[in-house]
Amino acid sequence: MSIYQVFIINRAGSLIYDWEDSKEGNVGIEKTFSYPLDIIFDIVDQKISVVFGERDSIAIRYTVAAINGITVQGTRIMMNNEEVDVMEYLSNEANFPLNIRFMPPTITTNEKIILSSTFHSLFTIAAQLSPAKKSSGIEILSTTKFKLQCFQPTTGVKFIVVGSPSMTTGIDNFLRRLYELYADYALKNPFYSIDMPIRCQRFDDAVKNLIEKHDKYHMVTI
Amino acid sequence: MTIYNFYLFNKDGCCVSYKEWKREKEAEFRLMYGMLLSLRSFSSKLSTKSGQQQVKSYETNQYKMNYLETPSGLKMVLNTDPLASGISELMRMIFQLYVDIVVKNPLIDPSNVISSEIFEKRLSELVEKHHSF
Repeated sequence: MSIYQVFIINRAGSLIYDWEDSKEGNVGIEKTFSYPLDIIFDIVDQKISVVFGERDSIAIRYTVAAINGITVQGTRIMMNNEEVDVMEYLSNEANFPLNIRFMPPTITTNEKIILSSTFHSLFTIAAQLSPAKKSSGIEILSTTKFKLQCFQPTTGVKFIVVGSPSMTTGIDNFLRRLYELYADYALKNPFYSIDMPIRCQRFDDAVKNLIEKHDKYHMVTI
Repeated sequence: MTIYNFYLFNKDGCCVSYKEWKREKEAEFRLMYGMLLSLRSFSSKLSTKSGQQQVKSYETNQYKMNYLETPSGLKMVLNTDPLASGISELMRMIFQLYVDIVVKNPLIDPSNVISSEIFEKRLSELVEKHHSF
């Protein structure tokens, strides 16, 4: 799929809806290591992350998910009925050799909420920093790994699509169609409070259908 | 087609060079650098693909912000019209100009604002000769 994520952000910058492509292959990597480790770890956002020493498709930002088959909980692990700090465990030579399972980076729900608020600020500052007059906020953000497109109608709600860097055609129509679905399923719902998260199965289904239809008619080689 | 202005930040966030050609609104260095940092952090967290990634540009309905960051932490911002083309090559040429005139000049302190007349003159020449100017 060329569309990775869809977000809807309300006027205050809060995330009220998000969709993520679950078919993306979240493949973990498992390897046996001897002492001393040639990969350097650090605690980033309460996770043990790789900060240096990419190899064997273990890349920077990968996190430690399990050691010797035992799941890591944040930065700690249950070893022999005793809770142990993972960083200390990895620096003790007596524990080697051991088997470590790595997972690629993912975005938790809390992180999505934080990212939505961040984008809300960036959107406003981009208009403020404009060298030209009467600029809107960010409409397209391009990086080497993804492309983000944002549509803000006059009501102030933001519709954001994150897709592959080669995502180009039809996104404007997609976003306007998403706006129509929002108007139909959220605003016409008498039980829906404005600016609250959208929890409507029909809206979910309609968004999924829209994304599948979009991908079907805009095949892009990634 | 137009090119509005240019910022050059060193790795500490100090704006060492600023040049404007067709700006219509006031600029602010600290706000710009703060935004670059947030944009960088935002993009790296939003991406779930492997490996490092870099912001390339963002667009609004009135302008396009082109961004180049070197491994040594130097950051360049070039604001242009959304339709401007060939800007990434132009930014690489500007970086080459920076290396040739600023880095190779032992009298210039990298942490201070660049006060080289040759650099300013050559930078203006480079930009004004570009087809997107």
